[in-house]
Amino acid sequence: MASTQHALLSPAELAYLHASLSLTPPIRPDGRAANQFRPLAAETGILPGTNGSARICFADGTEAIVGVKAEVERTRRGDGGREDGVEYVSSRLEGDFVEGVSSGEGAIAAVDEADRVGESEWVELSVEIPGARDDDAGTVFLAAMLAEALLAGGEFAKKLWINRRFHWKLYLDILLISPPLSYPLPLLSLTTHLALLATRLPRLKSEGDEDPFFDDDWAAAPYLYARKDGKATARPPVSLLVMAVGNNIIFDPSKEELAVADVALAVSVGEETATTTAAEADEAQQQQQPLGRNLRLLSVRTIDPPSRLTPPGVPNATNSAYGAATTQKQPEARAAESEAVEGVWKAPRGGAKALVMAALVQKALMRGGVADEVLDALDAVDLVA
Amino acid sequence: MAATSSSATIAIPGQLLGPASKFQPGPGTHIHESNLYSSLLGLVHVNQPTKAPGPVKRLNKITPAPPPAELPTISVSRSAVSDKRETLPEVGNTVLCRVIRITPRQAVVAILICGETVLDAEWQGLIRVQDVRATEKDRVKIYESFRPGDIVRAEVVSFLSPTLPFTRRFYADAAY
Amino acid sequence: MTDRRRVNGPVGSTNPPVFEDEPEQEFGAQKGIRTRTPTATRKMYLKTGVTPSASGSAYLEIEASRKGAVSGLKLSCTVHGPRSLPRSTPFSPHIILSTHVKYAPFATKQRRGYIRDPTERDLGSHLETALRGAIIADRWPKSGVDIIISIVEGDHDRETSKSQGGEAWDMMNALSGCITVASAALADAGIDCVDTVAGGVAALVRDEGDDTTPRIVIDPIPSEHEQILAACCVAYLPDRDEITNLWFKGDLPASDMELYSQLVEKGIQASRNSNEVIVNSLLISTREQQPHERHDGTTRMHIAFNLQR
Repeated sequence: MASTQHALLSPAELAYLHASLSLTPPIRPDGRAANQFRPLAAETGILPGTNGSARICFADGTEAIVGVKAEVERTRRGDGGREDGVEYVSSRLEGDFVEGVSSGEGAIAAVDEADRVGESEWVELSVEIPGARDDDAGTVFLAAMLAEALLAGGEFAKKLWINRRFHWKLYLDILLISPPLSYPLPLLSLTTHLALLATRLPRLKSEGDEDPFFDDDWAAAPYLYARKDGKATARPPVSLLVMAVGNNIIFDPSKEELAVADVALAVSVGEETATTTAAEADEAQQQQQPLGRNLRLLSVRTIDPPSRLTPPGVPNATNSAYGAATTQKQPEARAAESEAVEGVWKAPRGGAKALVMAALVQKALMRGGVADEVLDALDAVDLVA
Repeated sequence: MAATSSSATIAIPGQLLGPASKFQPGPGTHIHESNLYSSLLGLVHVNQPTKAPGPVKRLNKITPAPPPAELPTISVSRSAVSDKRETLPEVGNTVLCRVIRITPRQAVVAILICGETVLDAEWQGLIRVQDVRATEKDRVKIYESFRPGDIVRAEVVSFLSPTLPFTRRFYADAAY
Repeated sequence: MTDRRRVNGPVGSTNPPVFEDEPEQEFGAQKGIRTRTPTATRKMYLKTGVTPSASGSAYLEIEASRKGAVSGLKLSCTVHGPRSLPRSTPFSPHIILSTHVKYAPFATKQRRGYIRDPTERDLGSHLETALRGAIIADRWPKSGVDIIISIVEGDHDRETSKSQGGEAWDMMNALSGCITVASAALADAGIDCVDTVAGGVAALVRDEGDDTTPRIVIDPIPSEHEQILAACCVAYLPDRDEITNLWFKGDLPASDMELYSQLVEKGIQASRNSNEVIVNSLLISTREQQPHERHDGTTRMHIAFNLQR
């Protein structure tokens, strides 16, 4: 998988890196603070043939583009299993309909727009990493992680509802166009975020359950994520990569840093919109108060840290080159089980304490934490569709 | 000889066996936070050390300070639990192998028996031309020494480090 | 004379089999309401060494729910290796782990093809992460091990005609089962592990009728609840008190981290329960193997651990 590709570091380098990252405050190879992201350049609306697109280039040279394409598709009856394409009969009792389909998608705020229901099949997300096969476990894992965050809560799929017979089918194509110099999750997630923010769907002219008919004027097309005063009122989720070394929590690790991680997590964060009404938001803006974001935790996944596959160092005590007493006969005998020696790299075994894992998530989510900062930074990107 | 006191305690992976200060780790065990834990499903064996510490014991030594040879070795063995036991050829093991392929520089062998154990999986080894015999090494010709199909008794001399050119196989030193 | 060219029917009269009617279920039972306490896992059956040709193997069965049409989970895991790597692979100082999770075509309501789909690959990578933490990889340099799990029967509700989106949550239950069964099979294969890792699932659910208070239950069955708000699957090493894989999915307010921590805590509790089953099953199979302790007569042992607490 993509995260386990070997960073070519010697045991001595790994030990040094691990030691410097365990200091308080940690010293990172590129001089960033523990919760600082890599600088990035972002632009949206780069692909004229799409409904929405974005490109992000990280300072280390990794670059990704995302194109969002939408197609109108006939809604199949929501029995998931059979693809018989039976059209939904609109004369069916509305209550029945809601009862049957909405419950599964786990929509919390389904009460308001109870007649709108979405299905996870309406979104197709594909990730392409150069040098990795489409069906590579790492690629599939990345795609599943991004899709999982997007579809969590069922709010997103609801946006694709046109009427009872038709829906938008959204294709998200996520392309990493540079070689994967670091684990690409933050990059891909941020690019997807921007592309979705910039996505517009043609304005619907038809009414009710008739065949959909759209406005030709692209300028009139509404954004998928509705906006107010040039600012999106709702936002797609972002996934952050967090890792722990010793007692330190480090965000957006580079490949080398990930190679000494004790544990790495991908935390997907969404922003709640339902609770803050427009009036409240206006009020807060007038008072120049930073409107606290109502973040929501959407998904957490453990990333297999490549540190487990790093070569171990040999302590001087057992190294025959340093006069350790080894038998002549077995100069290369496998290292005996020994306790950790200070300064000698040993690939971590086992997992992480539950408290450490909780701290990682907590640190990402807390008010004014990294997720807040990232979303603020993304706000600053001008959106061109 | 080492006195073996074998108790029929069954250990499962992760079971605490004792403090690392009282025992030396043997096969099937691992150290975690100064304690010895089992890493296999099997029976626990405690091997009392011989009075005079042999050099083999000192291999497992961690720090030179304490007299570790006094410590009994604790190990977990699967032999009583399962008849299937994969072993990895190690440096110093005597192996029986069959010659698969010969080239002017080396013979490629399949290791069949390692020590006392008949191997399930087929591990490959190399007998380099300079390892065939101890004397007149430069006169050795592989095709005069081996033919494909020969069964060779050999000793494992190296467990290649990743920096050496032939990195994947076990070198086997043919001993006549 | 007998007619050898045709397959004739039996000479005498036969009675067509008459099957008993399915017992009438009342509406509550139809809907499937959780009858276990929130902290009880379903009963499970685990046996190691079921596939003689593999280096290690295990079979796990989780009891079906009370509702007749919901099948339980049936998993079979085989471990092949450690064995030497193919010639083309580069040097590795560690054992190379490869995990395959495959639903049998008939395991779920919707037929699965023979090629692994993204869900199965995703499960495979989760499983790999969970096991990699448990294995002592440097014991077997230059070796590889394949862990192959087939899900013979998925935990699916066969009766509901409508899609409930339960598949996404079923994946968590399947993963938890995969971790547990693979852990037992690894121990059976004699691959060094730091601990017996076990999987457990906890979910924040809302039941029908009480819209106000979502509650946390362990080992959830999606069809038994009105709505699942969030769920987490934990792979946990009980003796070391460490988590090797954590997978959380759902929608929780970030301000309420307490709820998240509780969910993970319950997941750990669930995996402790499964671990108890692994330990007992390993001990029993080991005792069976030992010649002096072998009981005769009992060819088939049925081990069911009731983990009602």
